[in-house]
Formats: sequence, C-alpha cells, structure tokens
Amino acid sequence: MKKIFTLLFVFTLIFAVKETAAQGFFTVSGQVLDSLTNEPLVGANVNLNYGDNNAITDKNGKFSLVATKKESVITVKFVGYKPWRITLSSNKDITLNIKLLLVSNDLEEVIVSSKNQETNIKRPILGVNSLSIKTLTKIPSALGEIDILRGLQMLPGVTSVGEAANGVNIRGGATDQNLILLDDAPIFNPTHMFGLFSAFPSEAVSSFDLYKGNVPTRFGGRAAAVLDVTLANPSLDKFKMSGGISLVSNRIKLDVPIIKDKLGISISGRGAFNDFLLPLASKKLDNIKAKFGDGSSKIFFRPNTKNTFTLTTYFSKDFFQTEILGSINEINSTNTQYEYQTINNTLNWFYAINSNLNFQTKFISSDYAPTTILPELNSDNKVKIRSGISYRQVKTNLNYFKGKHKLEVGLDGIKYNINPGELDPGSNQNIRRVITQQENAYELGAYIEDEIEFSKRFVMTAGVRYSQFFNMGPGSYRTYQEGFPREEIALLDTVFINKGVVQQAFGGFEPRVGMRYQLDKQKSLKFGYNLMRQYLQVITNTTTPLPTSRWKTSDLYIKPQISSLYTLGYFQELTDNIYEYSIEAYWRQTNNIVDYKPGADFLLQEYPESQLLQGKNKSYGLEFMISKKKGELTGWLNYTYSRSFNKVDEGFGPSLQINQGNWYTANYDRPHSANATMVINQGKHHDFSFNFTYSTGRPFTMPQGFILYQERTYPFYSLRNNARIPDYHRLDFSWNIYNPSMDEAKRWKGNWTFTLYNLYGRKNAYSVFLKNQGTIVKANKLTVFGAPIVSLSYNFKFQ
Amino acid sequence: MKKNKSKILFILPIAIFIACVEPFELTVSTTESFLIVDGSIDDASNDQFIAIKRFIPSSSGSISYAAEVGAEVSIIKDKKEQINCFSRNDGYYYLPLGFRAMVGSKYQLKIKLADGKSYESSEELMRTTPDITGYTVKFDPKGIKLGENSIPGHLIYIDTKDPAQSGDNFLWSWRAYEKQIVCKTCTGGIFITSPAPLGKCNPIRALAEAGVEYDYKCEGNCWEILYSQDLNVMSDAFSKGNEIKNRLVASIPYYQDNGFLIEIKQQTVSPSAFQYLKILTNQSQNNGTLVDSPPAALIGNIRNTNNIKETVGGYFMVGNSKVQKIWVDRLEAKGSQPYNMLGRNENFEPSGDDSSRPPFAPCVLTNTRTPLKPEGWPL
Repeated sequence: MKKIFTLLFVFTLIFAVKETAAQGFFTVSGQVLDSLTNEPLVGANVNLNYGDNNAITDKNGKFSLVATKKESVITVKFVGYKPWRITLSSNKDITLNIKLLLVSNDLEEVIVSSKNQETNIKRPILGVNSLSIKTLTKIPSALGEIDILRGLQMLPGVTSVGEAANGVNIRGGATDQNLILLDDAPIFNPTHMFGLFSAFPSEAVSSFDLYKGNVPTRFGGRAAAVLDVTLANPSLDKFKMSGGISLVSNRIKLDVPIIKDKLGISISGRGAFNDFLLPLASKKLDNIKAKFGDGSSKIFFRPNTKNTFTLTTYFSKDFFQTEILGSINEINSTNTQYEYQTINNTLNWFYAINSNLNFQTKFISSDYAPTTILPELNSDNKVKIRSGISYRQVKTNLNYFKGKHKLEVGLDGIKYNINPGELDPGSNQNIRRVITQQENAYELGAYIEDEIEFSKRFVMTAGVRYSQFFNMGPGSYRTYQEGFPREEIALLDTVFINKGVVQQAFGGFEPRVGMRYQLDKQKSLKFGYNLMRQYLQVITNTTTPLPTSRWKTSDLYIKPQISSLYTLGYFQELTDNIYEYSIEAYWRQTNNIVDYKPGADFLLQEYPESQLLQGKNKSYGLEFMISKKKGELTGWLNYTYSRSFNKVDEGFGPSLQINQGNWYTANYDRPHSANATMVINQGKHHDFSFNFTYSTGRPFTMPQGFILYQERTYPFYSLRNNARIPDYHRLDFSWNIYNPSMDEAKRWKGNWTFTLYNLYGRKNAYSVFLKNQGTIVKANKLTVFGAPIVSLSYNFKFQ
Repeated sequence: MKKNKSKILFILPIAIFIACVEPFELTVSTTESFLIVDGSIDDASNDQFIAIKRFIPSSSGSISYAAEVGAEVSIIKDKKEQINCFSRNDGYYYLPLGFRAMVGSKYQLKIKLADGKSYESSEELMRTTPDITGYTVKFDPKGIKLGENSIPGHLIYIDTKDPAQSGDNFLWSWRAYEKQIVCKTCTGGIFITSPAPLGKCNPIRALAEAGVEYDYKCEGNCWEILYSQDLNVMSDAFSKGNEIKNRLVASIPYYQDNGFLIEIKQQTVSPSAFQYLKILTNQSQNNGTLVDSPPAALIGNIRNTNNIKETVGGYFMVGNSKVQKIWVDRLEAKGSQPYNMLGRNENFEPSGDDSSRPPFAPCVLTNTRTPLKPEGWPL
C-alpha cells in the first residue's frame, strides 16, 4: 500500500515536473560514485539549495530531485567523503555524474610537513615546522599581505613582543638568535615598515622550514632557531606570470624559460608606494612616509643531468619617516628618517656524482646597510648615520645515501666586515664626523651528520659541528681593572692590534642529536639535543631591535652565546592521517646572553662593552598541537605554556647586576599562548578561514614609587619587568575567491582575497607606559592595530 | 583576459595601521617608602632650597609625599666651607638668602634626618655655561602636538658654542610671559569684588543649571607666566667644541595675536647628572614609541652613609645659568586661528542695567600670574 502511495506520489511529481517544466521547473538526476573505485555510494545525501529539497541515493547510487529555480545549488554529502557542490543554471532537465573523493585520499591541505613526504610521525627530528605558502595564502593576513613571519606566529613556540615586532621569538630566544636565510643568504632585518610586513618576497617563495628544535649541523651561528626560506625555481617549459594588488603593495613575478628544460629565470618584484594615501586616512598621518620595495631573481641552469647551477639575487629597500620610533637627541633635526637596504646573492652549484652521492658548493654574499637620516632646520643638509654589515660565505657539502645511512659532511667559512656606525654631518661643520672602529671577523665551520635507520622503529640523526671564530685586527681594545664595571673610571690601557692579527678567538663543538622511536604505525616518541654557538648579536636596549640596531661580533668582553636545548616529543596520527596530535617539551639554557645597563646608549658607541652586561637565560615550555590536515575543514589548534628568564650578575651593584642579580622575565616571556587556524574549503572557487590567537601580556616595568625633580613628579623604577601588559587576543577572517569567472580553460586566472584583521576590533596593547603630561603622570597604552582592518587584494596568474 | 581587466578597477579601501596612544587604567601599587631629595643650586636664583620628602607607598596607586621635618641640611663648598640650610616650611630647607653657587667650585650636600640617618651626595662641580649666541623663532601652524591634534605655535631654536673640553652637558628650561585679559572665571555664578582684595564667585542657581561660565577682565595690566614642562637635555657627544645650532628649546602655543616674552635658561650639568636627566626624560617624556628602552633604575648621587643599599631618590645638581630673553611679536602668525588658552572663546558677563557690572577682577601675584611688568617687556 505504502509502495503504491509512493509510486503515486513520484508519478504525480514527475507528472507535475513535466507539466511545469515550461514554467521554470526542471529535474536534476544522477548517480553518486566513489572517485577511485567507481562503486555507487548508497545513502548519500543530495541537497538542493541548502534544504529546498532532499534526496537519498538508492542502491545504484542514483537520485532525482526537482529544482524550481533557474539557478540552484546542489550539495552531495556522504560520511567519510569530501562534500561536493555545484551551482546550476538551467531550465532543462539535467543528469549529473558525481564522483566523491574519500577524505583519506585527499591531499593534505594544512601542511605541517610539506616538503617531505614523511609525516611528522616518521621524521627523526623534532620541532620542524614547514608551513606551506599555499596555507599562508589561505589564512588571514594583515592588510592582505601574505606574511611568513606572521604566519609562523600561529605555530606553537613562536611569539613576538607585539604587532610591530621586528622579528620573532622562538622558544625563549631573542630575535637575533634566529638565523634567517633566504636561499642560504642571511637576512639581518627580516621586516619591512618596521615589523609590519615580512621582508620575504612572498610571490617568489616556494617553501620555508622553521627549525626550532633539532637544527641540522649544516646550520650554525645562531643560538635559538633557523628559518630557511627557499625561492621557487623558475619554470623551464612555460612562460608564467603572477602578481597581485593589495592595499599595501603591488607584486609581480615572471617565469621566463630561456632554453627549454635547461635554462630559465624568474624575476619578482614588490613595491609599496601608497603612503601618499596616509594623510587621507588621518590628519595625524601626514608626517608619516613609508615606502618599501623588494625584488628577487633566480636563474636556474641545468646543462646536463649531473650539474645544476642556480643564482639568486635579492634586493630590499625601505624608507620611512615616523615619530613613533623616537628621535636622536644629540643631533638637532626636524625629523628622523630611516632607510635600509639588503643586497644578497647566492650562487649554488649542485653536482650529482652518482645516484647516491652528490656535492654542493655555494658562494654567498649579503650586504645590509641601514642609515638614519636627520634633515636639518632651514637647510638642505641632511646628517646621516650609516652602518653596515658585509657578509661573505663559501660553503660546500657532500651528501651520501646508502642503505640505512644518509650522510652529510661539509665545510663553511664566513667573513664579516661590520661598520658599527659612522656619523656623516654633510655640510654641517659643527657636527663632529664620527667613525667607529670596523669589526673584522672570520667564522669557520666543519660538520658531519648521519641519519641512521637502526630499525623500522628506531631512527637517529647524529651530528657534530665544530665552529671557530676569530675577531681580527686592525683595531684596538680597552683593558679595565678587574672586578670593576667596564667604564672610564676603571680604564687601564688601550691595546692596538695590527691587520691580520687575531684579537680574540673562540670555538667549540656543537653536538646535535635527534632520535625517533616509533611505538606503532601511528605513534612515535622523539628526543633531541642541540648545542649552538652564536658569535654575532644585535646589541640594543629597545623592546624590539630597530632596523638600525647595531650588530656586534664577539670580542674580549662580549663572549659568544652558547645554547643547549633538550626536546622531547610525542606524536600521534589518527584516522588515516587526517588528524595529528603532538606534545613537545623543551628546556633551553643559554649562556652569555647580552643585556644592557640602565641608561645604556649604543649610538656610535666606541666601547659597547661599557654599556653591556652578560648573563644567562633559561627557557622551558610545553607545546600541544592538533592539526586536521584533510577534508572540508582543515586547520590546527595549539596551546603552549612557556617561560623565559634571564639572570645577569657580574658583580655587586646596579652597574653590574640586573634586578639585584635575581632571575627576571625576558621581554618576550608570555606564559600562555594559544592559536587556532581554521580553513573551511568550499570547493574549488572559494574558501573561508579564521585565525584566533591568544597570549599572556608580555612583561613591562612598573614603577616602584615616584620621585620629585624641580617640584614635579616622575615615576621611579627599580626592578625590571615586574608587571604585565593586558593579554593579547585577536580574531581574523578571510574569504578567498578563486577564479570567479570559473572558466578553467583561460590562461588568466584572478583571485580575490577579502580580509578582516582584528575582527572584533580589540585594542591590544603593544606597550603600557607612564608619561608625564603637563604636571601629572598618566598611564597610557600604545596600540598598533586598534580597530578591525578591512582589506581587499587581487592576485592573478597567467600561464 | 579582456573581461578581467575591468575587475582590477577597484578603489583601495583606506584603512591603514594607525598606532594610537590612549589612557590606560593602571594602579601603581607601591610598597616601599624612600627618601627623595630634590635640590638644584645655581648662580641665578635668589632664593634657593633643597626639598627633602619621603615617598608614601600606596596600594591604591595614589601619589603622596611626606615632608622630612627636623633634618639638618648643609652644603659643603670645596670640602671646606659649610653652608647650613634653614627650614622655612616643612620639608624645604633654604640656603641663606642671596646664596649663589660659584663657577669652578665643588659642592656636596649633607643631610642628617631627625631619626639620625645620614646621607650625602657626591661632589658636584659647577662648570661654566656658555652664552646663548643666537636664536631662531619659527611659526608653525601645526607645530605643537596636543594629544591627537596639532595646534599652531612658535618654535624657538637657540644656538650656542660648546666649550672645547668634552663632557659638557646642557639643560634648557624657559619661562614665558604673555598678556592676560581674563583674570577670573566663575562657573555657575557671577564675580563679586568683596571680600577685598580677591573677591569671589557668587553662585547663582540658574547659571549653574545652565552650565554658564562667565569670564572677567583684569583690573589693570596682567601677565600670565608659562613654564617649560618638558625636560630638555643634550650632551656634546657630537659637537665637541663646535657650535650647537638650532636646538629646539621651546614651543609656545599661539594663544593670541599679542606678543610674548620668553626667558630661556641654559645650564651645563655634570655627566652623571646628565645621565640621570636623560634616563628621567626617556622614561617619562620620550617614551610611548614602538622602540622604547624599558625603564631603568634611576641612580641618583645621594647615598645613606651607613647603608649604600638603601634606595634614595633624587639628585643634587649644580649648574651655572645663562639666560636669553626674546621678544616674539607674533606678527607672522596673523591670520592663523589662535588656540584659546581657556580652551574656548572668552565669555564675558554681559553688561545690563546695573552699570557696576560686570566688575573687573584683580590680577593676583602668583607663580603663574603677575601684575608687575616683566623685565624686558618692550611696550
């Protein structure tokens, strides 16, 4: 009876459809199949216009629905499969052949181990995060700029002092303890516009790895972490063009094959010259100027199967004028301008001796030149303070793969020439020309590392690096009375050193070990130990280093920083590699960290040791991470508990101790931090994503009381970092629309990205400070992005 | 490709990073009481004093000081001559009237508190201060920042000659006079001249309810005295022995069309006093940037003679002063909209049938106002 009614109903329906087709009704029917096996899927839910009509597929996977609108959305869902959607525009009956993709067969969307086919469970090293550029393009970014450093801050163990931080803090390390490489050449200032944007040409970057746990022995010279960014090789078969326009910058990248499959070049450029818009946004911005540009080129040449040559050139330049970076008190000027540029070159020769053995040699140069410009009143003259780093490196390594071994041995040598500062008064004869002493140094390294597979379960990487550093003449240094602060009053003598003579040498072994023990197919335990030595550091007493901050080589008084890091991790995969959990714990001790004395001044300082103190840092943390790598919803969630403390105690008294020689929190100590990133993939043509980030407010110094000077009240400080600014949290949203014309055949494809940064407009404090305003002292907070920021960017590809 | 071209034509939304500063609720809870010495001696002032107070800690964040009464305060000149100070009001210890510090001499402050604790400063040398050799006055319609806005004002830059030896550190301050026409403002009432000589505001309910504020003109000539509120220090690190040109020393808001007289005081201070003032300036005035130096302990030059670990705030400073008076007629500012000193336009009580109203208000001599024509006033 029921069947008869159903048949009657269906008959009536078909009849009705047939009858009403002329009035805009039409039938959508079809079959739902597994994409790989072509088996019909029984019981899949077929939905019309999100609930207008529903159907369940029968035993043959077939369904039929009546649509009443000219334009209809059909959604097909089945447990374990990726949902499928289509928008139809028709007034004729349609038959669809739908193939659903099993979620576990889907490609990983959120990539936490991208370059390597191995998953985190299998890799023997700990603490490596490789976010893909694809992921970065999906997650929300400030002002529509794809940004590596901001993306990294969504990962556990990576924090910063705030939105205008000129670098990131990784596992309790200072910003200058990270080695940042772009095609092997170091980047000394990783941001544009003072911390607002990363300096990497995002259009040209193919991948980047962040080594925050085990650092391979081929890397040396920094105490905390390595960020290794690689530019994409040019296309060798097809001309390609991509680019974009955003509120901040305009970007373009060209791939030009010159000899098919042998020689090609890619060129990318990015420029931000929209600062003329600033006064339109707010009157108070009319004195701000901010421009930046960067460009890169990569030539790829493969003359034969054995030899490959690449030549990468990177250029970056910034100019800005703003009052929010303070001024130089000792030079009278109308305002302060900053200009800095980087020119890097890397020549890489890869020679495959046979399938098991290859050899690589790299010649690297990096020149970083920041300048502070001080225009004078009633004059065309500009006083300039210039400094610079010249870096030259040769490195060569041999890779050997055989059986259960992956062996790498190598040598490298670096030559540093540092100009710590030079005051050029221009035509002003009243300002003294100051030239500080050049620093010359060599850093040599030799390393060996082997990845040994003892069994399927137990794999180990073991290596050692030996580094040797020479601080060279010509130059001079001061000697001071023992036990006294290194100041003028304790000065004994000045010693001069000739060219080519070693002033000071340091060196030592840097053992690195990583172990992985696989408990079963889906679970593994890992352990890592790292020792790293750092001979070049930024010396600054500001919250975050200025682009003009001074880099200083280790010398008689500034000993190299030595960091030991222990890490332990547990990794687990679930449900066909859809989910991955991890817990990592670390403990780090760094000796000879650099801190500064009260009132230290490094500008053109001939004897920086008189302004500095050295001590130690201890940092520890526990990082939890869960990521969903496949499916309609991908993303990750992490929580980190971490602490970072310093202790500086070179003797007694405020000139030799900080916080009376007790442990105190580092500027970037944020005990709790949590991040969530979620990408909702809505088919080929668009997706939504959200970022949420939370962290405990960073420390700041609260006064111990108040004092009087000339009858006026001023705050009186004693202990450093004894309070915290309010907690930081923020939610961002972005909507990516891919190829809105939906014409897959076209060579030109455009994407739109709409981003809402700081969705609920929280006025997160960058800093809290007390300021005298008139006769009273007021507490203030400084906010960088204090409102929701909407941006729209357009990106295109032509190929 | 043709179709897509039109899609590039969009207007960039103008939303850009705007670092902004705003007030923040912060309770500075303090627990330690400590001695504060506020004393600067020079060769310019007639009536010089050393203020000795104690900071009173508070869990609610209130700032208060208690005067140190009954202390014995003296200044030792060149390790020989002892000059005793006398207490006139609580916590203020005055040097003998007419005392002037002398160039080339060294001075040390000694304090013995009523509870017997002794403190002394380091010896401070009074160095010669060079004269101000020139100045530039520039009118800038947006020259002075006032919160989020800019207001018109005159910027005064001075030139001086740095002495040949190194280690000279300069400190500038100023005092300006300008004509004042409003000597009294009554909120929700009217001004009456009794009781003489000051008179008072008589409340009137209707005016109070309407929130009316009446201003009253000065009786006779009256000058407002404005003082520098910012610390301004500079070392000779980059000028050794050369001229220092165009140092901005004062920014005077464009309050009115009439001219003003400004006295600029230039002093040299010792390297350690400079370091102290520099830290004080950096952490109370030059802060709020993206790259502040975190505040540092302010180490003064006064110690407890028996306990060097005791916290003592303040500095005993010695400085030779050179004063430059400048008359600024404000003629070049004509046409700009003045920034009213009251923050609004004057609103004088309207005259009615009663010919005795509105009365004039007396110009009472205080720190910030004087009926006496300042020396150097040209008219």
